[in-house]
Amino acid sequence: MTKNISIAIVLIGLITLSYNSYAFDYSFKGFGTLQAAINSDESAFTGIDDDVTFKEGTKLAGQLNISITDDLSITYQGAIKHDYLNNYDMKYYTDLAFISYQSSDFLQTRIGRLRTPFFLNSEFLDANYLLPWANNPITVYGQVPILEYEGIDFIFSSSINDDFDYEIQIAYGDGDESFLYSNTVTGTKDKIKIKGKGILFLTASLFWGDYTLRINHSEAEADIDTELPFYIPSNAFPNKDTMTFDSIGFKFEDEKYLLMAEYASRRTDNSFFVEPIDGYYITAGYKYRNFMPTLTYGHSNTPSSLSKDLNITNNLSFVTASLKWDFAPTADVKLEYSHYKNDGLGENNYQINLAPDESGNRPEEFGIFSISVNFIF
Amino acid sequence: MKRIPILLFNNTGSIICTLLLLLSTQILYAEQIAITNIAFELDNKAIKKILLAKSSNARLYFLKDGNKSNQFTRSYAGKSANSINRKWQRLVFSGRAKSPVIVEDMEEMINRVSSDSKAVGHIDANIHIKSSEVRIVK
Repeated sequence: MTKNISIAIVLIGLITLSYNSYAFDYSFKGFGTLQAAINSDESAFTGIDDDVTFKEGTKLAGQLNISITDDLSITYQGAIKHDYLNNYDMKYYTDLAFISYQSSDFLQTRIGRLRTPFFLNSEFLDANYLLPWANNPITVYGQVPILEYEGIDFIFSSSINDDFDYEIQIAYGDGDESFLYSNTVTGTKDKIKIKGKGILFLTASLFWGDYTLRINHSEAEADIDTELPFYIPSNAFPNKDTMTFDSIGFKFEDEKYLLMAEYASRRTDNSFFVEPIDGYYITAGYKYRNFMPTLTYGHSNTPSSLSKDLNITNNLSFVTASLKWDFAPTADVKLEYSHYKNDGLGENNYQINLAPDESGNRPEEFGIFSISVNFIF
Repeated sequence: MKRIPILLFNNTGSIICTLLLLLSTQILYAEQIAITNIAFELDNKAIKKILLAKSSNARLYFLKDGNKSNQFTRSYAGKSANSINRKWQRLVFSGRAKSPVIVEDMEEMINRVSSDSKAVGHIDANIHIKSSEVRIVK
């Protein structure tokens, strides 16, 4: 399916609605972020270099939800963000466009354009107000470029007993995303579109009081939609090869403390440029009145890969200190400093856009400072 | 002789203070009870599960008065209204749930709950509900 099909599904729903005399209910919500960031090094990291930029992370999104009946609804979420593939021009994105049917207390089915549920926070990753950080931990969230897919999901939720609840999410569909690949031969950045066909997501979550435990296994047939130059071997990138993602996440959050950790692992068959990667992060926070300072540590490496064979360790680690100040009931300011250590090429995460400096070197250590205002309405 | 008026003053002052305190307690902390649409039969455990966003098959209605919504969420789920709202917004922006609705007063609360078969709201315990479409959760 394509994005157009999802939008068509939503339009059909709206047309059905217009012929329906039933008094429908709708709501309009949204979220946004205004972020300024600077890098201690001239090399661009996720688009942030040593000049202050407002382009990375700044966004505005709106979400329309229309209930056709008590159980049937349409959701559309559109966002204006900066497109890092095209010189950071503002671009409009459709992030959600689906019809949802709640067939019972236990089962919700959605069909259309949905967010990929790879990790604990993946489905609301753009709504920074709802997250403890200004920038998501790259060692986990940087492993996957595909943020949306066209397909269907089934969400089963129920209780084991009075204390334990669980949720099973099964999803299937197609998704794609473009990213920039630093071509070390030509010295240029090439745009490569990666396609995930028949992505299967299997997620199980267990809830006990303020604790959440979540595991996910996802796999897809991965392919690229780019004609490679002759000097790049055909097995450099996935060519209808299987790509798998496995993750486990833990969260404890009460009125005072936050403890969150995730471990994620990516594997690709027969594709030595898209290297295997294992990564994790752990975040601890303490809430005091309207403030929540958090400390996050993350690490990722390529366990068995071309880099390793070439004695390039390709380790990435970071420490982030963040202060979240809820200055209004639905708005916060986040002040954040991250110190990164990049021991190797630093290309094993999709989100890392670590351009070499003028002398062709990538920095081994650098810091990112950011301040952001985040809100929902 | 001198002590009598002082004692009288103290007693009167104490009584007035106690009355004011009782009155303000009534105003600020009037007990909040959960209500649902008549078609939505839930018990206290189910209300807690919904408030904690472990079940999204409902729509929450909160009174605009923050003290009352806080009193409601604290007594049913042991969390502040802000913390409950944040859990729900995660579901909302994931496209999994309808956004909680803030209503102006008791009258609007009862009207909204009576016309939404998946509604969960709250009112003062001493309010008499005339609508047959609203159920008090016991």
